[in-house]
Amino acid sequence: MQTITLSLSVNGQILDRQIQARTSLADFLREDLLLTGTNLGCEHGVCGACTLQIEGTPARSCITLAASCESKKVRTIEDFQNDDTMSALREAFSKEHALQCGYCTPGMLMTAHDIVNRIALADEARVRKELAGNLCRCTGYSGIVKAILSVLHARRQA
Amino acid sequence: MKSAAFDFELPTQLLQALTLQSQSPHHSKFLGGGQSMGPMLNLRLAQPDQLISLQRLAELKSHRLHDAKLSLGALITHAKIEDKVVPDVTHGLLPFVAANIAYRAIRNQGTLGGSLCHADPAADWVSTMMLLNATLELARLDASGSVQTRQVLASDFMLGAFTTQLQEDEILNRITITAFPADAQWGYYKICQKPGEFAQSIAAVLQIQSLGLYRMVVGATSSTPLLIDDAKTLLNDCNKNTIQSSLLHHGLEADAFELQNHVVAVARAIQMIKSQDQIQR
Repeated sequence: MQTITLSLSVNGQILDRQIQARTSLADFLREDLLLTGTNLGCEHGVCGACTLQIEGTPARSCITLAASCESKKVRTIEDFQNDDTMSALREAFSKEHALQCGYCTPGMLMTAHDIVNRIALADEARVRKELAGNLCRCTGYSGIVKAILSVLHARRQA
Repeated sequence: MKSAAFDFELPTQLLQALTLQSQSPHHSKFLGGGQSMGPMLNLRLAQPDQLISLQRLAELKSHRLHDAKLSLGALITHAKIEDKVVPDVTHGLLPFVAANIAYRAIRNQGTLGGSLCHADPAADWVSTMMLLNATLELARLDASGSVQTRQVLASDFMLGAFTTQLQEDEILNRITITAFPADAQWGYYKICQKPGEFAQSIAAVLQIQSLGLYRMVVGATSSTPLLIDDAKTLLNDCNKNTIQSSLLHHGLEADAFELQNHVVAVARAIQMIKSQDQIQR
């Protein structure tokens, strides 16, 4: 089994680690770095629970090999404590009851962050389309959609 | 779910990638964006001994527009096409198709070339590149160990579901399409149970009156997409009975449910051309 040396940036920290070549990015983060904010659901790229940022754009960490992230910048939900957009989203998710069990929430927030920053003029239909890649089995999505729309709205007023 | 063990290589040059493959004593696979390979590894549908990632081949991420020909590196992501980082020479068709592939998190990683090589019959680029009569450039090592290329038309590339002309020792290098003339009109409609899921039917139509070109592709079939090159009558007629008999006449294999999906998708794709007509008038 091939072991490789991986060098990458995770949440602003440059790391060098020995890993098995087959390790997924999600397993690397959760098991080697103990960054368990990234959740694993389907493990084949469908549910969106493991969504995080690679080089500033959302990606699925369950179907991304850690080895593919050599020299890249990875940001997980843990790194968004002081991010303005994410703070606004966290508040809105809480206010609009956008979570129940919370398992999908890290991935939802990462996708929501991308929607708010990329599609300033998104309406409800667009938000729902963009959210199609993140499954929530509790809320029926309406709280999540409302929360994202409220942040978009506040941004447009500002 | 964990993938079976494999070796991993990250070459920086095309020649180096091809050489690694040629020297591998085992089953090795080239890896693009990994958005299909990732799930297949996790589900152990694919168990290569070695993965050779192509993501550091900068040349495969480039695009060139020259003499109304747009040459796209195989590693250009769906998102780059969606965001028009790559120039749109198709009156919005390519960005429209890209924007409706899977989900944004997938589109940021998934590549045009990877999708074509994976050759899922329900993949958008497979049908779209047939509609555009794209040329695919495949690279391999010749006997002397230097890079040699061959050109294949998109309509000849795919041989069946998940099967293409691409040999184990070849890399899909570039995809070249011709810019649309001013009067080109297109329609593209896919039927999905939910946005981003693999389509149950894809219909793509292209009409360029100045060239006498009336082409239709029906994708998400059980095998290669159906290409109809003489679709002039069909494009003038949205009648579902006419569409159905024409699809069957051209050899479409489908059960009643699939056929109904294909007929509706075709009718709606044609309708898109007709509504563009009205906008222009």
